[in-house]
Amino acid sequence: MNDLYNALEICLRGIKNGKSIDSVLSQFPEFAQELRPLLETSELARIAAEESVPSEVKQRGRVHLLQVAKEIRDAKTASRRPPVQLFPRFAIVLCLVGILVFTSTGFVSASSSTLPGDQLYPVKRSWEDLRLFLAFNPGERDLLESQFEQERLDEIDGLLGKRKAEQIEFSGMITHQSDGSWQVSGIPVSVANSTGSPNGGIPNGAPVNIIGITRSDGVVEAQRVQVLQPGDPLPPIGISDKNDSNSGEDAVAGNKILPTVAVVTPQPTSVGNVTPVAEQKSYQFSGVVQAMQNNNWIINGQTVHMENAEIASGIKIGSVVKFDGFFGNDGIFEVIKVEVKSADSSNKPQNNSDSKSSGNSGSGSDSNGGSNGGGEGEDSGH
Amino acid sequence: MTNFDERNALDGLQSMNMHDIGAIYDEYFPIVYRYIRYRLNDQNIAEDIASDVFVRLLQAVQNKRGPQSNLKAWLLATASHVITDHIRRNYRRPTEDLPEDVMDPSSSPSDLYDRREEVRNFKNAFSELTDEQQHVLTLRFGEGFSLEETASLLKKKVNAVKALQFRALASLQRKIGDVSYE
Repeated sequence: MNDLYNALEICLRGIKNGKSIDSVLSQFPEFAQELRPLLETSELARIAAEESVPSEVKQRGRVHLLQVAKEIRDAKTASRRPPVQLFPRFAIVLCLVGILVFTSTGFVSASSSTLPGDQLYPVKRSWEDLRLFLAFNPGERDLLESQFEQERLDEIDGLLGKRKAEQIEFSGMITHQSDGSWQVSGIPVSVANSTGSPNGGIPNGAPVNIIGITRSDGVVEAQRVQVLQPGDPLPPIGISDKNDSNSGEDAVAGNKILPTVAVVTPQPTSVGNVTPVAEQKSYQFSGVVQAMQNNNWIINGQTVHMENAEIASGIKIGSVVKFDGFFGNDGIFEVIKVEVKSADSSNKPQNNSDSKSSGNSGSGSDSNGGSNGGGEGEDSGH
Repeated sequence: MTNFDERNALDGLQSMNMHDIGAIYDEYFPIVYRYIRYRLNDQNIAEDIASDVFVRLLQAVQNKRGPQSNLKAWLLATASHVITDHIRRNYRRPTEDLPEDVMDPSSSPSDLYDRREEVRNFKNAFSELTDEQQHVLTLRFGEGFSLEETASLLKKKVNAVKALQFRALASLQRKIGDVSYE
């Protein structure tokens, strides 16, 4: 029987190498009658095999697996911190405040440049939560939220640069879509059929919130995409140019944060020559007016065009406003209407070009012509 | 395509390193999925089971029962167990239509019909083989592994696999004959 088994294996190899059944059986005439039906059956077995693996199936499984892995890892981390389990996050934050008051600020400073997944990253986020909690003024709170949104974007850029896989969430503006490959405020995002998103698609120029995972190939794999809600802060439009030596100072300033302010004069365009990237769909945001110079204002560190805006009365520097508009082809927000949302913030940033933060991720730093990252304003993909 | 280092990936798996988990998935998902599709012929169930196999890997690692080497063998063996459990729970033959890409697009319509019927008969007969016979045929013909690699995955000697594949093909050939005459 061993001879028969060996003969079968030799014939199978021959067929796999492209020989015919008759050809391989000619080596074993004594076994031909018995082996022929088996070889014909093996042909069927080979034909029945599928080569292709559906990419959406693979992607879905990958996203699910990484979510499970994160849950396992988080559960493991939590179980190793028995003292911490007994205290709510707020209590930890208060303890940190107490420590920081009487000790050096190196601890928080060390965490300021951390990325998701780093050991000190929770310290960074707790510090941000504390700053928001202590921001009683709505305007100051609004500015901080914008600053932290910019920080989220910069963190993702850092993760992608380091090829680290981490669960992330960020807000930005869609500037390009092509076959599931998007650009959102300078971040490459992969959007599959399985990604949760609104029916009917989302046009270019839309502000979105994305939940996903950074991949080792330098792309964010989106799990869910949602259009920002009316009244949300204006999302950052690109990755900032961080000065590492300044980030520590900014993080521990403890004072009212002055985001980098840069007044930009866009290339002259004739009136009426600005068309939205999207299908003229407008969006509503809120923010703090930081500078007002002719037809360009600074709101939450970003330059917005006021050329065609209906401006309600009573708006001045420091006002918290709600404004409607759309992102133009140059990536700069075109305001259609603006009105006061609440009273002045107590934070009155210095005007125009004299205003500079002590360093960090003020979103105004990337509003130079709206040309950083996502501000390319390419035409809609549909 | 980046080089996959299984040793490093297994080490990273122990600490739930997301990058290494993703690399393991990218490397082995196609193999696992094709294996399951070959045996079950149902895309939705194959997707669920393939996903389950990798989740079981994470759970095994968490419980200190994960593979220390030969990850492919562990994954395929797990897939085989899960498929067996599934078949026992459901007691049904695959009924899904055969995918179009199985057929040679240059064939005539009558050739295509004949071939589809042949493969359909094959699938029905295949489902009646023992788990071990299905396992060896899937590895050899569904995945295209060599005799030696199949032996390694099955943790059997080469001669044992030769005998097993012979008996599996013989049994399959008899069942195809039975199905054809039904």
